Amino acid sequence: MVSILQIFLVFLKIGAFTFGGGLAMIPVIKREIVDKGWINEDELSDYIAVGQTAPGMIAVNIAILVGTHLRKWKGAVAAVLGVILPSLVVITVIASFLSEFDSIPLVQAALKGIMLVVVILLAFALFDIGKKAITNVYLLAYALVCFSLLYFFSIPTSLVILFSVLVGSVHAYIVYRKQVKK
Amino acid sequence: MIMLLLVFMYVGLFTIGGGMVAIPLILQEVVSRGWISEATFYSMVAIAQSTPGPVGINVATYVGFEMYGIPGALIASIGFVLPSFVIVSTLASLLRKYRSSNLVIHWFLYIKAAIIGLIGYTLFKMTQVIVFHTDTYLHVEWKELALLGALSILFYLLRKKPWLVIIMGAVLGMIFL
Repeated sequence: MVSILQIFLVFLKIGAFTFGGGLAMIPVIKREIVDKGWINEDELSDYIAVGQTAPGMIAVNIAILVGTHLRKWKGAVAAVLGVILPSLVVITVIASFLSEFDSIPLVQAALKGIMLVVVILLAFALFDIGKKAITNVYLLAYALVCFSLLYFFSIPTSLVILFSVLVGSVHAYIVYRKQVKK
Repeated sequence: MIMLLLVFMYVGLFTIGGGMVAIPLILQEVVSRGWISEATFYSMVAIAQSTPGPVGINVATYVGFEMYGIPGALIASIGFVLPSFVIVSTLASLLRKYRSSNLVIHWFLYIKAAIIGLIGYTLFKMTQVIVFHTDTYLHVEWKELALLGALSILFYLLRKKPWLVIIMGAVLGMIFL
């Protein structure tokens, strides 16, 4: 069994190396948790879907789900504390010492460098998760439609997810009707 | 302080879709209450985006700290995650019960495809900000593009240690950009 301390430490690492929002965290989670065999890839992709749909920060939601999976509510508390602790420490330090942190040129250059790595991480995540999630041509087309809604029409993510639930319900209904007819 | 807790619980409850949704919600709440000025808030967001950790948590911590020091930072971030705790735990137990039902299977099929679209969108947006500017005409930042190539090779070589590549990205950025 995975210990509470191990859960806390792994999520501490994940929190400390997440730059630029929750989705950038997914490849790091995959390396730290799936590759250790704590949960499998299908479970992770379920948790990403739930984490994205439920209210709150995606990173925190995934921490709650993985923590609960491993050690019930104690695991969830350990995972959430781990994932938010780096924020608490780093922001508190910055807020107490520096007011113009982001306008220092060297800091800006370092941040740009980090952003480039985040781009690479996201590209890998796209293919990694895409392989599992996109199992046929229709789902590929649907992913492209969602991309266009977000990119060209600036539709909020929450509406795109809601729309997906709707499309899923319709599809489920069609499948149900076919079974009934048989 | 109770208000601080309640406001961030409210923000946590209505943040559907991650940090980018939390920011306008927090802005509305803290600026209209006169807790923090709009200009200060924007510089907080810039710092929150450039430091590790989920962006929403970073902003919450920052606002809390500005108002009541370390206890405020704790209260704001705990208030923020509290609603998620209750809702996500409930969803987790429902998920275990109904994961194999016809309806839930189809929901997940499309939500997962939508998330692929979302990751692609985030990837595009970030690349556009750093490497290709398309505001008026296509403009390529060659130094950034070259560094992106170099870091991709480093990433391939150091697949097992992505955090090491993040540190290298910061160092190479300081040297070349």
